[in-house]
Amino acid sequence: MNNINDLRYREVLIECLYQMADDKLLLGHRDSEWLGCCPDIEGDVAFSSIAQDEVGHATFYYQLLHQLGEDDPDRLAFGRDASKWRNCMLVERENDDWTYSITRHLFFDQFDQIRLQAMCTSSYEPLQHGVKKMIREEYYHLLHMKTWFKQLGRAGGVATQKLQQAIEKLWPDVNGMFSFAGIEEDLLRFELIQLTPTEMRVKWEAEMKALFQQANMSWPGEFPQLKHDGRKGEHSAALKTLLLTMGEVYQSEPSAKW
Amino acid sequence: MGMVHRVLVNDHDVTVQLMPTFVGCPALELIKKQTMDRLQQIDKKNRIHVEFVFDPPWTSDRITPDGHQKLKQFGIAPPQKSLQQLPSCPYCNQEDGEILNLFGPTACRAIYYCRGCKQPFEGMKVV
Amino acid sequence: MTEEKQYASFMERIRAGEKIEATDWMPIEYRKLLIKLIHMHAVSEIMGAYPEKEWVPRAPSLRRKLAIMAKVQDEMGHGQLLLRVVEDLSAPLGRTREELVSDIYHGKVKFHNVFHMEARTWADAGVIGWLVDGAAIINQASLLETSYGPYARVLKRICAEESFHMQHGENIILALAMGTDAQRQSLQTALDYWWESLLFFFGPQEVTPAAKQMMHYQIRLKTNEELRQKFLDKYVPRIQSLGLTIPDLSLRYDDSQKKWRYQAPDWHKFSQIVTQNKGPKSEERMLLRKKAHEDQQWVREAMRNHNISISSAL
Repeated sequence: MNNINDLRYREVLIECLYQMADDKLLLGHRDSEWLGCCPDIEGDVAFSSIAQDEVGHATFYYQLLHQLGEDDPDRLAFGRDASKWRNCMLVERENDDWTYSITRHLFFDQFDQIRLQAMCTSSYEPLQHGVKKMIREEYYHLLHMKTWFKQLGRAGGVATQKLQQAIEKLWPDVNGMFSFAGIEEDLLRFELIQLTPTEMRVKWEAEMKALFQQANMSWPGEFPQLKHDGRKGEHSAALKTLLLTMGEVYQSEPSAKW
Repeated sequence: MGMVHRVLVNDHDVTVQLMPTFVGCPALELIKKQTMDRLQQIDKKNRIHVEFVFDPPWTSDRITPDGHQKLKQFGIAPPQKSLQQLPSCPYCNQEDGEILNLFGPTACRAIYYCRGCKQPFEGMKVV
Repeated sequence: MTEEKQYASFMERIRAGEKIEATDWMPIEYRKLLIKLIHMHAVSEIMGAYPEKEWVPRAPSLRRKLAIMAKVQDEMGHGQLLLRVVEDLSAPLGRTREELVSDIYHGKVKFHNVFHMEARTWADAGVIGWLVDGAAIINQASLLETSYGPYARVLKRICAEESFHMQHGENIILALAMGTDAQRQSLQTALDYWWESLLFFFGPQEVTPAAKQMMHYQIRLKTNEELRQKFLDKYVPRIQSLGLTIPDLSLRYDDSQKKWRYQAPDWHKFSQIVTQNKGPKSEERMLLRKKAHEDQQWVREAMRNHNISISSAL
């Protein structure tokens, strides 16, 4: 039931929206670092399109936050200290090579699809409506990422080697996506989401295992214990550097209009 | 383009509800402004409001037959009924295309190539 | 038909304003001129993404971030479309897509001077979005009448989208012009830096033999100077209306001659930038393209030697 006047409902909804917005903005930002540097022009076009979608979706969530009484979207995006960010650590890590960025985006997109589907009947209507729209757009991202993953996995040689390395580098961060930093029970209770984190992880594993098989890649096994939880505001130096860059012009004159 | 959901008229206020094609489309603000300006020109009595709504979500099958024609005139293949179908070439109408990129110069378009007239063309994505 | 007759009939079609298509016969000279022009255009779109890419991470609002990302995406998309057109033209001459790209960092294809320059501040990014795009639109609009059909059709798409992006550029500039003292100053500084490059953009005044040939074949229809004059017609009043000073005190409109008089830029410097790649950012950006292309060849090979394609994935 939508009880937007219930303090706890609002609190939990806002926390969840920060998680979603921050995930998307940082992923889009990392993706945009690849502009002009992809292996071919087709890749540049695709990656820039995907990055733009992510930033667009992030903007949608920040606008919802603002409607719920949080700061204006630009201040949220460019004026917050690292400890206030609620993204999972997977998306804040610096880019590595092409296989790393593709695989990172794939892992996240699969998680996001499950999260979005679990919100298609969310009790908060503005979120529900936006999610139903965005899920249709995300379809293309996941399709493309899965295609790339399969191609690189089945190619053999350098491509498969690098893919293996990328998976190993990313694996410790995967579990962090499924953390909801303690609000998961209330999210369910308030019907903001329809699945538990465990249910989401199980779905993710099922999809990914099938994909790994198609790509001739071996499953790495259990996720290691999470060292830091981005959703609790525990972040890396990489995020601090990113935020300095991202906020550079905005913070040069915070009261100015750009 | 099938973006108009409804128009609400109320005393001295006219509200146009538009459905965004893509959430991240950078043209949304421009579309809003152009809609307001155009209506303000026609209707000088009432206050014009334009807002974006996400329910129902815009889908590419909302584009009307007239919209399809106009897209073709612009050199853009209108969206097919399903993702598996390749669009016919907006220049020569042949059904001999191949997909070059699921993505294109904008969020809403993909890039194809017509083997008939040997030209690349853009096509609206099925959403 | 003898080649002579073929050529005569070809020229008749050109003179009648007909479009030549990719499947038509064409004289080798026509093909080579088209390749020269369209290859340069494709590469300019691709290299044009670099100065802007530098500002995507630092765009000062979500709206601007989206707009500048969309612009870069657009340029890359146009680059892909144009490359396909030139790929088809080059195939009979035995040139491949890989070569069309590696030509960039082998110095075998030129790209517009502006993309060799530095985008030092957010104001520079705005000036690029407004004035450099403005110049490109004037160029591209004049090419819409080109005799080569496939190029004309891609240009139609490009022109429609560029004017949209230019509005974003204009908005960035307006925000700065109406902003704080520091913002206004950064805008003036940007204009001071970019003015010479904008004059350079259209190329030297002399009509080269290649340009003459292109006009003979109606590949292009206007001279460099005609286009530069159009640019000045459109933008000098607009720049001045923002309270900015154009860094050329001799600039004035000659009513009797109906043209702008301006201080001639240093064309030797232009030549060094465009033909010798000696601009402030030339080497760095060509290296980025080289890295992307050569260091990641293994990715392209992996994509080629597979059983999965996009169409089968759909």
